[in-house]
Amino acid sequence: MAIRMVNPNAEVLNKSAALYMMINAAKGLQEVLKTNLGPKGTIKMLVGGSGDIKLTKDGNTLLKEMQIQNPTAIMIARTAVAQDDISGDGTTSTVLLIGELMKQSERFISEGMHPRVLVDGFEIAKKATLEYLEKFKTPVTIQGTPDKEIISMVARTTLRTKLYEELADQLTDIVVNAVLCIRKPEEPIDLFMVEIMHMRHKMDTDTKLVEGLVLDHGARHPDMPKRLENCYILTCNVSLEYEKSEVNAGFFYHDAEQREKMVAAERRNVDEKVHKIIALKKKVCDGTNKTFCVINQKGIDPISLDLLAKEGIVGLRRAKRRNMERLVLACGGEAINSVEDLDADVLGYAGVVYEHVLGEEKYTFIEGVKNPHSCTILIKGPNDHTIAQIKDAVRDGLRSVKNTIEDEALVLGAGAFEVAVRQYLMNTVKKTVEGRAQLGVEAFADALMVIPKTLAENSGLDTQDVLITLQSEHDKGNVVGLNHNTGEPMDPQMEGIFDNYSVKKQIINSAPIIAAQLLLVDEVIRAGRNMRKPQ
Amino acid sequence: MKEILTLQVGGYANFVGSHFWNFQDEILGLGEDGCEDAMIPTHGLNMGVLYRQGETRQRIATYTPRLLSIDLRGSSGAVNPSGSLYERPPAAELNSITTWHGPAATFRAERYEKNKFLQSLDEEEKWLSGGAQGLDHTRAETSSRDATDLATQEAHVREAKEQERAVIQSLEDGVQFSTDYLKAQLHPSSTYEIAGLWQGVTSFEDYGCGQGLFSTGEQAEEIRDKVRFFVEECDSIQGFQCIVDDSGGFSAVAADFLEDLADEYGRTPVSLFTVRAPKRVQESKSTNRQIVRALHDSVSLARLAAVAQLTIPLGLSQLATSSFAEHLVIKDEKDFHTSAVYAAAINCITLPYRMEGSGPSITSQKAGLGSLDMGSALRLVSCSSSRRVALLEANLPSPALCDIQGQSVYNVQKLSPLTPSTGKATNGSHVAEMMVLQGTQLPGSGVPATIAQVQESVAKAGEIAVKARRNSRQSLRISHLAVSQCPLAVPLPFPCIFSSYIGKYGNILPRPNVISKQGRGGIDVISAPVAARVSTSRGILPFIKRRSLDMQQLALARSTTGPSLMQDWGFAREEVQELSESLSSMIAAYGDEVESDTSDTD
Repeated sequence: MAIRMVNPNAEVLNKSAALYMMINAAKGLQEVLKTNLGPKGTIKMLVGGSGDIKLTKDGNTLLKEMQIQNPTAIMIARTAVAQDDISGDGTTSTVLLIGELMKQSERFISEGMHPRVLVDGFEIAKKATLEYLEKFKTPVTIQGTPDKEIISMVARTTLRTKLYEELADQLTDIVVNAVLCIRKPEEPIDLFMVEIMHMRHKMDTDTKLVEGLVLDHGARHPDMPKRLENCYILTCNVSLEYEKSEVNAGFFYHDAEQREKMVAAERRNVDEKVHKIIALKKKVCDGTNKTFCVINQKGIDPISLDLLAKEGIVGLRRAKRRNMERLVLACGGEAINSVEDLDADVLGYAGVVYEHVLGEEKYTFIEGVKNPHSCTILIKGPNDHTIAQIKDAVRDGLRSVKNTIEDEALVLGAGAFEVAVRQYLMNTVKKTVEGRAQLGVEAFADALMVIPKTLAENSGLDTQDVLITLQSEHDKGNVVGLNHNTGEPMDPQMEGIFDNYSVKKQIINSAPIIAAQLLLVDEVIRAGRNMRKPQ
Repeated sequence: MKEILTLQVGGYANFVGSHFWNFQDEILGLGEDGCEDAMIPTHGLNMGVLYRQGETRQRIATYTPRLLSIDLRGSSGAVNPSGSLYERPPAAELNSITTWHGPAATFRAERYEKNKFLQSLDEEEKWLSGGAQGLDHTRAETSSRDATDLATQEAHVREAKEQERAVIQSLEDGVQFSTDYLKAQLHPSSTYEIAGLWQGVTSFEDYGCGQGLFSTGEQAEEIRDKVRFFVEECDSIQGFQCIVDDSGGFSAVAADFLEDLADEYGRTPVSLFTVRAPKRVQESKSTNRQIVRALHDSVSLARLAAVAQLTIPLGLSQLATSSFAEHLVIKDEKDFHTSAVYAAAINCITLPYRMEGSGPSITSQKAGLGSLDMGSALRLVSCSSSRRVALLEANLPSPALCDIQGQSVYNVQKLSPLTPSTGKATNGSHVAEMMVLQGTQLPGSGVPATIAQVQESVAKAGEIAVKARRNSRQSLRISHLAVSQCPLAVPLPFPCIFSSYIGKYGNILPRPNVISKQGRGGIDVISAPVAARVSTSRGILPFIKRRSLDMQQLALARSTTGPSLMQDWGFAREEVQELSESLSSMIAAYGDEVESDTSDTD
């Protein structure tokens, strides 16, 4: 073998050993993620070497936290993480399906079947499954006012697999309202317009939706008001800071007097900008009960702050770049880059602006805005790892709502789709296939059952029983999913259990591809330096 | 106040950083105790430049470094990355899962054992937070013990000393992480561990490993938020002081990060120190590896120098045997040792940014002379941003003023480079430099020289140098001198790297015939004079030239290895061209004189 000549230390695994390695890795990864799935899954607490804590029930987060070294497992993990990046969910399912496809294949391959034939069967089955998905999906009307009820169902299904029921239900309303708030007709949904802010304070159930914005900083001047009502919001990106730019370099002045003059000129320049803002404030507020707040992306130095404070203006500096966009969407007006553009038209409006202080952390709430197109989900929790976990869940919830609106469709959950498609593949598709590729279709059909099987297993039910009752109930002509509490079949439509169409589609698409790639490997060469060995 | 935000990116940078913060911590200690040692004058530094004031939820005031440190996961060793200052104390609450009522599983990584040093810090902490009660208690005890004989007290002192030595020994033997010897408590926003990359597990050896890491949405957002947290607090920020480990994938992370930073905080100056540990193993002989290394160095320099006003590369490939280590016993294989040297140099050269503004009067100059803010300093040394790479020379401990013809003179020749592959600056080349002398001593005695004395002696040295060069072409020399009377206060967890003949105040005693291999550390040496000079002389040219040449010959060659490697790293051919041009123009800024540099690689 050529590689032996090049590198005598290279380790070569032949066909069966290579396949064995692939299958084992896939099974191993499946084993780890299996307990995650569904509303009865196991939450995992990861405690690091220094005592830091991570809490997760999300396959995606778990994969990122694991130090995976097996190359096959890395490949599977990457696919699964990519799944999450594309559609926001389905990491666990992808890993489960890949693992199960490998397991099913192992059975046939050990009986002497060539992987190529199996892979051909996968291909046929996959195509049929995707076609079936088109027929099976439940269309959702989004045009005009979307049906909030049905959108809530998918968000609830997602959230209930990550958080306990009461909290999940509370967050369901929050994420649905948040997405509907930022949605604009005929435009793709930009989830970045939902700010996710967190406070280590109180309990997880204090998490709420703020129609408006919450900024994680406050005014840096003791005399600025802590609360403003009926407030104009000026969003700007103008430096109100005396930057002693070239002045101090020493090359530009000849004596102290000249230097003083340059410093003064520079200072005057900043002051002028501040006075322009104050003039605008006077113009729009004097004689009314209106107030004024400046939110600046650049800095505001103490002297400028002082000038603003004297006028009763609240000034916030160094706002997040993205908040400039959000502010305008929430409050209206325009973000300006120069004081030349100052005008009553560029001002936004908020009913109330107030500050909330927790130790050294300050938060500024901007609420009571008209027609908000941006909002904030304010997550609260007693400690950082709880907050982090809720944050992950909220992200998944938001994605599921966004997916639904964009897909204009949903798929019945609780394993209903998998049961239905398996029967379809076995009873209809398999018969149309000639030769041994039939077995590939069979393997694929059986592999899909990993979803209801794992759901049952995690609920402490007998998997065989459950599968048989589900299949026979389906053969009676009903669409059935698994009731994880009783183990009985149930109608997911009635229970309001829905999955995202695009997530399902993505899983069906990517899992067989990876499985096929792994099955078709017939040699593994391990050459080069072993990374784990100390140098 | 002119605040500085310190950014540390990468493993070795954090090693250097930990030493740097230990120095600052020592200075803070000096301030409190009101200088118990007469040999150490007041420092005259504004600590608010580097530190921030805060308050925990329990309304306990905190004083923490204004720092953001970026590293791989698990690099914080036994110390919780989010620090212990702001954590709520009851640990029971931490272990309950409130968000899930279903089954739960806990996975515990093997806990890192806290070393003796960290344990002693914890004890100290406990003792302090024990509060007044504990204090009264001990006081009562001591008063009752007044009667007991002196012998037991002495025994106590000896015991304490021994304990200290044991702690130091544990550091000498087993520092694994940069947090193992860091005294400062960090704010939770001060650390960021890159998700998905583990210390010691993930390979992070070259530019390609770090490429694209920063640009992935969430991570960048989180880092940006942390920077913003610190910047928002600053009334008028002086600049960003970055220490970057450019030996591996972190140079890509840092380049992307600093680019983003410049985007957001446009006019705020950025000063960059790139640091790397000495080479531990013989470089692999395979040409492929060598090409990767060479291109890594070239790309790193081209990208990093573009995002900072001034880049100062530090990191000799052999530190222990270099001329710098004349009075030191360093083990190159210990990052704990080598990083201390670079930290001392960085601490020294950045002193002017932190000095209390000095006026013309004698009293205001008592503590320090030559305060200069970062922006001005960088502009001065870089000749208004045309020369972007500077070399740093330093001395630790810096020798006392020497007597020449009855006048004390500062011997500038003694400074040795910490920047790798430098050449000798030729006469007649135009130079901008900043020199900082810290705690310089009078000849023989170990007594600190006054600022006026130091200033005068440097001027004398300059005169002598000019006389010596009378025949050669006159050079244009822009020079800034800063003098601090306060030497480097050596903290306890400083490695034992001083040679055995270095005195308590870092004074160089007559060298004995037999030099012990055992070094002296923070117990025996309590302070040391340091000198450092950063300059943009032509001495730095060999360093840049080699990288520029590598770029041209390897990355733009017709062969396949180089160009395809660059492609893997995410550079299209035009971009490689641009990088190469930026290196060439960097060289051009140093003047196009006849090449007469004698380059000697360290």
